[in-house]
Amino acid sequence: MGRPAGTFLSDGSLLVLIALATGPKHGYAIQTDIREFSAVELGPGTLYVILPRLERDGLIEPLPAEGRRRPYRITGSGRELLHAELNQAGSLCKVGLRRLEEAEA
Amino acid sequence: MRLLLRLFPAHWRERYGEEFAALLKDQPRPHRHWLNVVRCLIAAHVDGRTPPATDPTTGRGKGVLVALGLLGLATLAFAAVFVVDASYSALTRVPELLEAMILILPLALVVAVVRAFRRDADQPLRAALPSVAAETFLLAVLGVILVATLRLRGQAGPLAPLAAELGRSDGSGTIGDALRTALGDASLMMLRPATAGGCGAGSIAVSWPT
Repeated sequence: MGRPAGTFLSDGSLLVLIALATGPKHGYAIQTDIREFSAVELGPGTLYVILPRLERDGLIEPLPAEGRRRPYRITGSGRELLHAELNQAGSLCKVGLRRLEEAEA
Repeated sequence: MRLLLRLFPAHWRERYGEEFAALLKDQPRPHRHWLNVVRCLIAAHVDGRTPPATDPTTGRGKGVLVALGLLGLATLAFAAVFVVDASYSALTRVPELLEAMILILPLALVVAVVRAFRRDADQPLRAALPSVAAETFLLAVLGVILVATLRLRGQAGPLAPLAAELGRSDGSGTIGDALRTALGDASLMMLRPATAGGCGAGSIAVSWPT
């Protein structure tokens, strides 16, 4: 499906990477950003299922803690994978919309 | 919530505990998220044993999940045969907990496996384990509460009407008959002699139109 070998992104992972695409953020800032751009409520538990996995897969990395909060930033391979996923999603959208238009015409 | 945090694995708490606690404190209504935290708790325990995303065992994981689903279906079918067989009524003789487990667990497993596949077809096992565990546990608890409540009120189990309907063996081609035909009566025949004398107190009362 055009994904780099051995990787996958769930919907939640994709949202977190998109949130981090604009710069480092800590947990609550990621939650707030995702709520604003997608209207998705990502629970704290869900976020901390996703963050360790993304970190383990080398797609994000932790920065030094700011008090009790720890910001995360997207890595080069995370950015690359996000690019690939979004391009693929974009292609799917185009195909889907074109087919809908053809069917309605 | 503090107690829940203590249940996380030590290595997880050491690495993420502080920031996770801070995130929970940031939530407007932290206690609203306890179920979500339970999900994270299960994932933290499971992920410690889960291979990373690049591990080539993905195919095997899918196979294990398929096997789990089939096991759930087989158990469900087997349980259904006993439940629908009104003359045996095995489930009225076992404790409520076991009854609920027998009825709910296989169903929960099948539902969770199907949902896991729909959610992430690439790595279903990895995606499924936390939700399979959480959903199965929750459904089992709900089942126990439901069955126990009904029993306390002196009513039959929740599947009694279904059992009465499906347990008909009058050759009218009910689902119960189809199941028994499909799975064979051997297991029932092996168990029936030991239960000769009919059902004990609390059995599912069966009556159907003639």
